[in-house]
Amino acid sequence: MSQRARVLLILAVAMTPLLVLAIALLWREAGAGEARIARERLGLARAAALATEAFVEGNLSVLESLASDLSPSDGADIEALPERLAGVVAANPEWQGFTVVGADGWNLASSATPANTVNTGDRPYFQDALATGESVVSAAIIGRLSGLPSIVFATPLDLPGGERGALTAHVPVAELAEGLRINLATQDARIVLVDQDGQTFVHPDEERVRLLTPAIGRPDVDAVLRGDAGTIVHDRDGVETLTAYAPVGNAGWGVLVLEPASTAFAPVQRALLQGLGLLALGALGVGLIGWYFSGRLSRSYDRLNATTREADEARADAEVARHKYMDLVDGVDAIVWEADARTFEFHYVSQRAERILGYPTRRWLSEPTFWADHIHADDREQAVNYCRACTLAGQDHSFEYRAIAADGGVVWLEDVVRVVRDPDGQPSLLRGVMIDVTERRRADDERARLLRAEQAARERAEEAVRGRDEFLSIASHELRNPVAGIKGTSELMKRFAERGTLTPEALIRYADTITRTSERLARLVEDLLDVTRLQGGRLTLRLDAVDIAALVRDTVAEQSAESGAPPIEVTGADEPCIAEADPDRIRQIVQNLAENAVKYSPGGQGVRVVVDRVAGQVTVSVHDQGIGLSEQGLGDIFQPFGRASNAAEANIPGMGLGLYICRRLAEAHGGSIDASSPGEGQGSTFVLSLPVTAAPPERVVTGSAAR
Amino acid sequence: MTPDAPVRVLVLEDEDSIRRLTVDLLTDEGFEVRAAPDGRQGLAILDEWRPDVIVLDLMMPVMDGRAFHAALRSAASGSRVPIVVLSGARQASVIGEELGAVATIVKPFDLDEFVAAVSDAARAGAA
Repeated sequence: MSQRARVLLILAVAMTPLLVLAIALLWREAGAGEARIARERLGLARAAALATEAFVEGNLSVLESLASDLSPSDGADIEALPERLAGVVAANPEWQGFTVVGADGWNLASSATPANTVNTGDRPYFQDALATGESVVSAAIIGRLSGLPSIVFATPLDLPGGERGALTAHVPVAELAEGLRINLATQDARIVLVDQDGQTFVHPDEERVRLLTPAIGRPDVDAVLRGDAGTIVHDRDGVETLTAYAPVGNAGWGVLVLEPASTAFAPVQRALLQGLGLLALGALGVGLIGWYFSGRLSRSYDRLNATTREADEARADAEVARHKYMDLVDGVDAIVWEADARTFEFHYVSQRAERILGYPTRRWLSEPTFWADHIHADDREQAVNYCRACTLAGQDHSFEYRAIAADGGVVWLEDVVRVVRDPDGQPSLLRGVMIDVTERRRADDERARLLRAEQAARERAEEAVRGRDEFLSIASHELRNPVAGIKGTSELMKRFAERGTLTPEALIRYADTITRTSERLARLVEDLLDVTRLQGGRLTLRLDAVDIAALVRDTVAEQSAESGAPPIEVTGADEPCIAEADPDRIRQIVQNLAENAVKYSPGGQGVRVVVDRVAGQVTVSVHDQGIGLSEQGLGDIFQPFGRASNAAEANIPGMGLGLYICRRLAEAHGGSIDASSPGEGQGSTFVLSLPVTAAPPERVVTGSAAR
Repeated sequence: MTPDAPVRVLVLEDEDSIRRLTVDLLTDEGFEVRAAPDGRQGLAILDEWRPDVIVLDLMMPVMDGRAFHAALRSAASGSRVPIVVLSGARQASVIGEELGAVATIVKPFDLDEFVAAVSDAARAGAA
């Protein structure tokens, strides 16, 4: 279908209801016009009926007055009647004939015929008048003399001698018919009068009138004889006819105004036709205009169509692009967002936000301060201020901060922000991408931690190397000294012996030196080995459930016996104290502490050992009243080769390894050794603490007993 | 110093066995010898007795060789006394040179070598 046809079709479709409406209106108007015409005709009918009624009324009243003139109240006899009647006839020339009818029906006197020649006793009007005593009007009759329809008025009349008769008068209807016709406005209309018997006595068709054609059975006639008034359009003798009808109340007649419908409704039909014509013209005009414009419209339409199609295609392309873009955006493993530059309210946030932080995107969009609210409290102020400052300066920026995820976890976000300006150059929008950099951050942190750990390890290693170098340096010196002493002493012995100057006393003295120095050397070697094992983590503890109290008691007693020093008092060692320990190493520690206490106490006096249990620990405290320790000394004594200065000054031998070894051994057991002293010369206390077995005591005791 | 008067040697050595043997050795060689186990006690001896040579161990408790040397040089009396360093330290010779020692004997040592070093030092001091 061409565009033009399409346009016309559209016009037609658009116009159809209008046309239908217009036609309906015309139709309704035509109906109303016809009704109006019918009402006019009915008005004519009513007017004719009223005129007829007046005619009847007037004639009756005249007749009644004549009758009263003729009444024999004055005692006149019957013979005088014709004379008196002649006077009445003379006075009323329009009346065709008066007759005085006697009680038996014979005419007592007539204006036209001799008396007693006509008997009207059987006539209904006579009988009615006598019966009712009222004046009556007859149905139409054909006058015997004129051959034309006339009607008879009859009124009761008291005759001389007390007889009751009637006065009758014949009146032709021609005059009435003429009067009624003149009153008709339209020439096309016919007026018809029907008498009470249904006979047509006034009609344009003379023949019909002469025959007094009965009209009973026609709907309009039947209706008007019932006393109804109205209009009807019906087929009347083969012609569509509008009939208006109205009754003549005092006669029982009916007036009909007849007119062919085509004539009666002609103005309406003309108007309708004109209307339709105009409508058709209008429609045609619209059609033509439509035809003319449809071409232009069609071209415009084509152009529009093309434009629309292009727009549609562009829109479709855009939609496809948008979908692709959205897919792309939602596919990016980052939160793509857009927000107000002033309030930081999000306008858009990509789907991935739900995966990265766990909040539904509608919360991002609906909560005005969503961004700031979900930044880690420690980062919030800095992040918001930085973003605001950059935005105000119109600078694109990127920064990292921690966000709190829906599950309460911390997510590191790198936020890369672009500032979009409005046409005035004011920052209006922020667009950005939030990238989850938690893994990277974690890796960075881990790397930093590893780096720190590595640095620390390197420092420790360097420290260890330095320590080992220093240790080796000291150790080599410490080893060279006794070795050099032994070697030199031996050489000296040999030299003196060769010269023969070696006395037996000197020999013994040199031998003693060599022995003592060798012993010291051996012990030094042992200690150095211990230190090496401890520092290299190669010390193996042979753990066992050990009763520390018993071990301390035995060790101290043994040592006292060997050294010959005064006995050392041990307290608190009666109750067993079970700990997981290497008994040989614990013995070594206790021995070392006890030896030191004796060594640094003049005469080895006043040393005592206390075993105690405090809060899951067994403590062995070794108290002495010896040379004591300064603050410095308290620190030095636990270093390798560290000795308190007062100990060296007092020329008390020692290499400074024992306490270091003891502390490391205690630590290897999960315990500790600490020293305390009120000051130099005021004695010292060394406390060894070891954890007792973590398990409940009764189990340990049982376990210990079971071994 | 007169030729017939014995050369005086002060030995500062913390190791008992070495101190004893050096004293016996040097005495046997005709030196007049006194000894102390650390620098401080050595300084105390210097107050009353003027040695011609000082045999100095470097690693000693209380006051080590270096500290003693510094104290010696700051004191007018013994400032020019020649020193023989006797040490087991690894860098003994380096430290010996630093201190301006006439000789450095590394432990363990040869007795003759040691005596020769002390004699040289005595001569150097006398020159």
